[in-house]
Parts: sequence; C-alpha cells; structure tokens
Amino acid sequence: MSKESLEFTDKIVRIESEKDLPEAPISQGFTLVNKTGSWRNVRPLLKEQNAPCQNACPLKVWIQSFIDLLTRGKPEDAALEILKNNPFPLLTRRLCRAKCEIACNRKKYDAPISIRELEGFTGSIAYDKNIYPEREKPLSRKIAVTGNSESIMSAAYFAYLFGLDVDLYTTSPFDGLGLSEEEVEREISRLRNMGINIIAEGKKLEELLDKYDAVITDMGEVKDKLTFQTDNEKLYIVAPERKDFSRDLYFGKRAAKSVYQYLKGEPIEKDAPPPRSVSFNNIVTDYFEPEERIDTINTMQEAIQEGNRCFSCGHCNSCGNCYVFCPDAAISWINDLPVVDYDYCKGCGICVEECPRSVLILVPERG
Amino acid sequence: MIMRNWTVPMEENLLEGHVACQGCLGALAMRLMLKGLGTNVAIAIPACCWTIISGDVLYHALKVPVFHTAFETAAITATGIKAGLTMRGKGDTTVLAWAGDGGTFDIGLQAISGAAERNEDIIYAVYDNEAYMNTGIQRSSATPYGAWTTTTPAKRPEDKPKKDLVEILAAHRIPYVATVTPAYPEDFLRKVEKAKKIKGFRFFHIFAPCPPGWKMPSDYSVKAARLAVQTKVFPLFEIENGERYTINYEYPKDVPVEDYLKLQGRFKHLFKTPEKIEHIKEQVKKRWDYLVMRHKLTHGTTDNIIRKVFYK
Amino acid sequence: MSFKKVLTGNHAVSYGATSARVQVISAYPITPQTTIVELLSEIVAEGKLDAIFVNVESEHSAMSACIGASAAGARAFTATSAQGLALMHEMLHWAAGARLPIVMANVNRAMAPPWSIWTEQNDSLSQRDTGWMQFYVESNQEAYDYVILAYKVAEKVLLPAMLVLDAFVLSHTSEPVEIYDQDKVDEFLPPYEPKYAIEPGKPISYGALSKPDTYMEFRYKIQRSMEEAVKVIEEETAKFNEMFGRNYGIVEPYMMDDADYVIVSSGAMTSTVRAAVHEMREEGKKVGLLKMKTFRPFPFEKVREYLSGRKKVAVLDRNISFGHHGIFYEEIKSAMYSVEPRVPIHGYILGLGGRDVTKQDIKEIYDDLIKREEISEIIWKGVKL
Repeated sequence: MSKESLEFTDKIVRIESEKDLPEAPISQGFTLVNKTGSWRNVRPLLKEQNAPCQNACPLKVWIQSFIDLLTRGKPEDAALEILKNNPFPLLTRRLCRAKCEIACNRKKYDAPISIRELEGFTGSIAYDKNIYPEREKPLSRKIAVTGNSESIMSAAYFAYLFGLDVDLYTTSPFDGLGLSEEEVEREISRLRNMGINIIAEGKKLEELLDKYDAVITDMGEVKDKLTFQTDNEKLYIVAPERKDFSRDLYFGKRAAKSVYQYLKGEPIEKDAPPPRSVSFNNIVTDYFEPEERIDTINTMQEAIQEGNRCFSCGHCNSCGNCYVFCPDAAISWINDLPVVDYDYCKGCGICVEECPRSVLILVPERG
Repeated sequence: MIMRNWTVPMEENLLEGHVACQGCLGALAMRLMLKGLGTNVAIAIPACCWTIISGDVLYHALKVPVFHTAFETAAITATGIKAGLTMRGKGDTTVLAWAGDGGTFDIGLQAISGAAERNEDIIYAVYDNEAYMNTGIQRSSATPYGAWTTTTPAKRPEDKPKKDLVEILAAHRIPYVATVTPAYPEDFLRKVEKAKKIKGFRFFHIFAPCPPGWKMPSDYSVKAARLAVQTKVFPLFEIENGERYTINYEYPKDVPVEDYLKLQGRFKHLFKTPEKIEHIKEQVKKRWDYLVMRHKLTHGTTDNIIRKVFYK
Repeated sequence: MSFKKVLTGNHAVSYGATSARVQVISAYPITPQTTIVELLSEIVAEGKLDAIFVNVESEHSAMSACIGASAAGARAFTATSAQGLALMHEMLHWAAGARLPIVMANVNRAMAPPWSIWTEQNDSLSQRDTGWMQFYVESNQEAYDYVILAYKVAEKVLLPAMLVLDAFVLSHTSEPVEIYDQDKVDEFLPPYEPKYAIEPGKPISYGALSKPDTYMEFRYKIQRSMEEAVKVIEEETAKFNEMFGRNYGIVEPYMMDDADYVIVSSGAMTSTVRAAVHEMREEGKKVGLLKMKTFRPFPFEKVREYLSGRKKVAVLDRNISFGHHGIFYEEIKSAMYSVEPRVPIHGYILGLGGRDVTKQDIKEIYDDLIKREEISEIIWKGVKL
C-alpha cells in the first residue's frame, strides 16, 4: 500500500477498466467519500438557551456561564461575567432575594444551587484582585448621575460601562441600606477606580442639565417604570422600590441604558421579555448525581463543588456527551466545544437527546 | 482540554461516511472499541450490519484492517489471522472478531465455542441488536421474549427467552467475559483496556439498540441502552475465568421495565397483555438475583457494587 | 541431501507440507485424511516445522482458519475428505474470491449416504466452480511433489489449490517417496511474500460489499488468473522436473504417439490403466493413455493436442454428475467440440465408492470401445445389473 493511500481522504476511486482494480477485493479509499450529511432532515445546532435562574434574575446575570467559568478553573473570568450585569455582587450576596434559586431547575431534583452565595463568593474575586469589567467604546458624551440610592450607584456603574463619561454626585452613597462604612467605601472606591468621577456634593438639577448631555437622578417622581424617561429627554428619574435589592440595581442599569440609547441617537425601547427558559423536563437528570447543597461558600473548593451541581441549563459547559455518543464520529471537540461536521452528520439526534442541558437543539433542514 | 463527563481517548479510528443507519449503536460501539484498542488491531467481520456499514468494496471506514468473512466464521477467521500474524512476527497485534447477534448467538456459535474452548488469543465482540437487522429484522436467538420481529409478528411475538450467551461463554472458563453498552462509554472503555491486557479468549457482549429494528426514533438509542441497564434488562457485569462474577453497576432507583419497553415500537403490543410484561419482569428479576448471588459468592458482599445515578 | 522413505500417500502429503514450510495448519479429523494432519501435528510438536497447528471443531472452521492465516500473509495448509470438503464448500469460494493461495489435500472419498469411506471423485469434483485449482495425483511421490508445486503455482496466480489423492489406494498404501533436500525446495519455493496481506498499520478492508459496478471485474480477474495458471503450471512443472528429475505435465500422455484409441484417466486408477495399456501394447493394440493431472484450470489445449485425430476415446470417470454423465467425460467432450474431424468419445463410469478397478476392467473397456458404432455417453462398467 502506498503512503498516499494511508492518508484518510475523500478521494473518489474511479474504476474505468478492470486494470484499475487489484486482484484481491481490497479497498482503495475511504468512506469519507460518502457525504452522509445528505441523509439529514434535521440538523443539530449548538444554541445557548436561557436558564430559569437567569430569567428570574432581575439583573439578568448569566448565571450558568459564570458557574461554568468558575468550575472550569477560570474564577476571574467568572467574576467578570457576573460584573457584566451585577455591579455589586458583594452586596447582592447579602441583600438579593435570590429569585434565581426559587426558579432553579435543580430544586426539582434535590436542592437548588446556592447561586447567591456562589455569585457573591465569585464576585469577591474581582474585588480581591482589583479587576474590572470591560467598558464599551467611549462615546465622548458626559452625563451626571446624582443621588444616594443603590439605583443611582448602579446607573453610574452601567452608564460608565456603556462608554459614557460619568460624574457621580453623591453625598451619602447607598443611603438607607444599613451598609457599614467599610462596605460603602469598598464599593465607592471601586466605582472611582473604574473611572467614574465621584463628587461628594449635591448640585441643582437645572445646573446639571445645562452642563451635561444627560442626567440621571433619584430625586423626583418616576415617570416611566420601564425606561425611566421623563418629559425632558435629557432627564431620567429612577428610584429604588426597596422591595428587591437586585431589582433596584436593575432599575439603575435600565436608566443608564435609556440614557445610552438616547445619546447614541437610538430609539429608547423597553426590554423585551426573555426567551423561554429550559425547563426541568428538558434536563437529562441521569447525568447528575444527587448531592447535598452547600449553603455557605467560603472556599474555592466549596465554590467548585457547589458549582459542579449546576445543571447549566441551556449553556454548554463542555460535558462531552454529544462528542462521545455520536455514532458517526461527526462531532469534533474543538476548544472544548462540539463542532458538528455537517458533511457527514446524519441528523440522528442522539447528541440532542443526550445533551443534558438542552443547549443542542434540532432544527429542520432547509430545502 | 475539558470534557466534564468523560475521560475517553480522543483518538478516532472510525471514519466519517460509514453507512450505518441513523442512531446505530453498532457503529458507536465500534467507535468506542477502537478508541480503546488503538490501531495495532486487525478485525474479522462476518455477515452482519457491519458488512454494509464499513462501506463499498472500494472504500473503508476504519483506520485498521478488516477482513470480511462468512457468517459463521468470525471467531475462527480471527483465530487464523492471529496465527498468520504471529507467524509473521506480528503476534502483538490485537485480533478482534466483530459480529452481530445472528452470527454469534446462532450460526457462529460452534466456531465461537471452538475458539473459546481452545482459549484462542483473540477478542470476540458481539454487537447485539437482538435480531437479524441487516436482512430486515428477523428473529434470532438473541431476540428477547415478547419482541416483535418480521418473523415473530405482533400476533405471535417471540415466545422464548433470549439465549443466555454470556453464561455459555463463561462455561468455557475463558479469562474474560464482559457486558457493555455504548450508553456507558467509560465502563465500556475500561473493560476494553482491561481485556486488551489479558491473553486468551475475551468476549464482549455489547448491547447495541437499533432504531429501525426496534421501531423507535433514532435519537432514542442511547437512552434505550441506558434504560436497559437501569431496569436491569441488561446488567453490566464481568466474569473472570468463568467464575469470578462482578456486577459493575446498579442504578440506585427502581425503574420499571415498562419504561424501557414503552420506548420501543417492537414491544407496543405487549401493553395489551400485561401478564407478558409481568413475565418479563420476573425473568429480569430472576436473572438479576442470580447475578447478585454470583457476585456475592465472588466478593462476599454486594456493597462494592457501584450504585450511582451517573455511572461512568 | 534428498533421501527415500517408504510412506503412505497421506504421509507423503505431510512431508510435502513440511518441505513447503507451511506456517499455519488447521484441520479436523475425517477418514481417510486424518493421518495427514496427525503426522503434521507431530512434526510441529517436535519442532521440525515452525508452524501453528490449530485443532478446530469442523472442516468449515479449518478452511476459515486457513483463510484468516493466509489473509494475514502466512502459508496455510489443511487436508480433508468427502463430507468435510462439502462442509467447507462455502469457504472454498471465500478462499478463491479473496485470492488466497491456500493449499489443501483432499483425499477422495465417496459422499454419504449411504456411508462410504472409499475412493470416489465426486467430493472434489463437486467443488469444480469454487475457483480452486485441482491436481489429481497418481502416486505417493506425486502427492509429495504436488504440495510443493501447488504452493508455487498458487502463490503466483493468487488462487488456492487442491491436490487430490485416492482414499486408501494412495492414502493408506505405502510407496517409496523421495524427500528433497530442504535447500533445494526452498530454492524452488521461496517464502511467501503476500501482495495484499492484512496487517496492522495498513487500513484496508478485504472483501467488502461489491456492487454490480465492480463485482464482475473481480470475477473476470479470477478467470484470467485461471487462464494464466495453465502457463504457470507448465512453466513451474518444467522447472520442477529439471530440479528434481521428474516428468510431470499439465496432462501426461503414455504410449500416445501412434495410439488410435486413447483411454483418459485420472487419479490412482491411472496406474492400473497404465499397466493395462502396456500389456495391450504388447498384444499389438494401438492404445494409449492420457492422464488428467490438472482438472482446474482445464488444460484445453493439451487435451485437444493429444486427442485430435484419434479413432476413439474412452473417458474413465470415478464419479458421476447425476442427470448428466461422468464429469471428466463432460469436460473432455466440451473441450473437443471445436475439433474437426469430430473424435468419437465414449464415457465409462466405474469404481464408485471404492469398487476395484482392475486391469481386466480396462481391457474390457478397450474391447467395448473398439466395437461401439455409436457414441455412448454413459456406459456403466462393473455395476451389477
């Protein structure tokens, strides 16, 4: 056998005369020549789905993803994932009502994941290591954010992340939450270190409206609970409800988003409802061992152990089932993710059926 | 590299473009087997689905050589290949006989018995899809009680129990007999790696659901195999030297056999005759009790049987 | 140095396999073959032959083991008889289709029922269309020689070969046999170098599903190799004759030069025919003998060359194709179809199930032949009517 024929190619063997065949009935090429993908009427697709925790979270923290990163041994990345949506994970660790845990699919299996604890513990890594979330491209627009409430602190945080220049006027940040001085100082210094200009004084609204491209304040009556717009397009009024700490943080984020959209010249639209989340019935529980929930997380080991309990609903956490169970060897494992070779995938659907978390779905083949 | 659920060799010795039906666990079984065995391997394949799967005469689906042989001759052809290779100084090559249940439970049994009794240094693996699937789903002696096939129609379904081939092999006192299924890939590979190190006749009974033959959607085949293990229809165990029995795994919860049966159209008619389902349950229990007894005889305890939801 | 040894036909075959340095032997006992592999197992056990001996549970497996071994590139050997050969039938096709140069000794034995253990050619002739070469030997020396020759030819044309010897008449009858110097045998028959062997690191499939677009070509190639085998047999036999002082051919004429009448024979009964012809010649009868050494490939050219222009031909068949005639008769008649002027050929069935074939029988056949006006396609000799 020549060296060339040892290479596994999809070369077609042409038989034009009997001389093209050996005496013995031996193979001359490889089945790669059969593009069995043509058999398929449905195709598996890796498509991130929402998890119930994520949908229940007022801040829409991508919980599955940060837990995944944490348990992959990437705690900094996990912390940054949290900080994309949660400005104060150390505060939410104490103050959040953790609707995520009520929604958690694992609740129906043994006990919900200690998400609040995990989020708080993981978030603290960013504080310890002094790392900050990435900011979007600066817009060169300057806004004033004024007030003392958690919604205002959140608004300043997100406005800055959206790329706006932020002057935060606050005299008594996180007022009324019963935070210790250390806690307040910790959060404020982080905001300052991020690049928010903090001014410890109050200014008249008119003055601010004159000086800045837009203003967010918690003083005055909230006109629109979805976008926090007012009759003055430069003015956004947001205030905490004090029913749900995280929701109050979300209000700040939403107000910042409205300002951002306004300054970018985009229409200000209210948030669309999240897509349906993966339900418990979509979870293949045979791939999970019942395990006791860790209520309080103090060490990385505990964090990983608890994180490993996560079903990772709708988020690929590289379990490998799709790769291992493919009868057609049509799934490669590239950068810890499945890559389907559609030239050969026959669309049997095993990868989808065995995906424990419904992140692989079947879609009809066009044509 | 991260793969959370599995530690399996990433080596791929099954090529794409093989022409197994969608969801064929016979194909997956070969993929896993060769992940475990590597490429210092030669295979004898008798008439079976794999005659077709491996491709047209011009093309080949594996990274190892295959000799296609007659229906009843997998064990002996493998024996011959081993002898030939040994005489040519290649005695370290693992020779694998790879056959379906028809070629193993029925027509090939004589040659298997011969090779087993002589303790030929080969691995014999049967991928059992419980009927003659390649010829169009006819009943074999591996067809389980109650099953529909094209020669045991629903009006008069299979009325005999599946042949207990593993016991027949064990009675040959061969060094290693194992039951595996691709639904438990790590158990499968662990046993392949163990067998690879053993000299003599090694036998693998591979439970390999067949979507068309079992009348079920192609995406259910791994699930069906998993349920077969969970319901104890197909227990995972090993027999060493014909006497050391080890049950590898017991699902920690009771799963009714019906869960397994109702997945498959071939058992659909049974739900009109609950006494037949009861009969199946009794047989499953009897067999399990027997295995537990043998396990206990070997180990003095059953505490060492792994009881987890997610068994690898 | 070569030496002479008194051997039964079966043991001559065992020695032949030893001289041919077979590497894998697989066999199942059947009378009257058994002593071939008994002796071989002893030779292997004594370390006089470096080979693996596989004691299988059936002839079907014996042939399958040889197929596996040959596919893996080893020189493989087996021996059988009658029912055993019939059981192998499927695998005979396999060996030829896979182009494996296996050599097998078949001790001709009548097929049951009723049970018989005595000589008759129906077992081997039933394998006519399997793609195996067939050599019918007359003596124990030929039995020894043709194991070696058969490998030489088989490995050249990549087709299996069967040497056929008669039950008891040869298998269990002793004659002096010259066993050759091993170096000389090695020179004639070097180690087998397989062209298509399966081996690790060579990812090929062997014998997978061939669709109608390729199957016919593989069959064409077998036929071409069979045709080529005629030439190869003639060449290799000539070399063999030169090296070992024999006088073999693809067919073998005896007192044929001026013969008006020819008796065609095969196998051990040829010796009887030879003696009868010799005596008849002394009586002045112009009779000759044509020995059919090779049945497959069929030696058309030589048969035509030797039988053309004769007054009458008698073909002796220790076999019968029920509903037709003797099998050699059919084949010779068909070979002579194109020859003008037409040679009258008569077919005689005799010696079935080991019934003795005597010189007297042959002389009577001659007398019968010269008297016959019309062609008789099937004449039963010696049957109690």
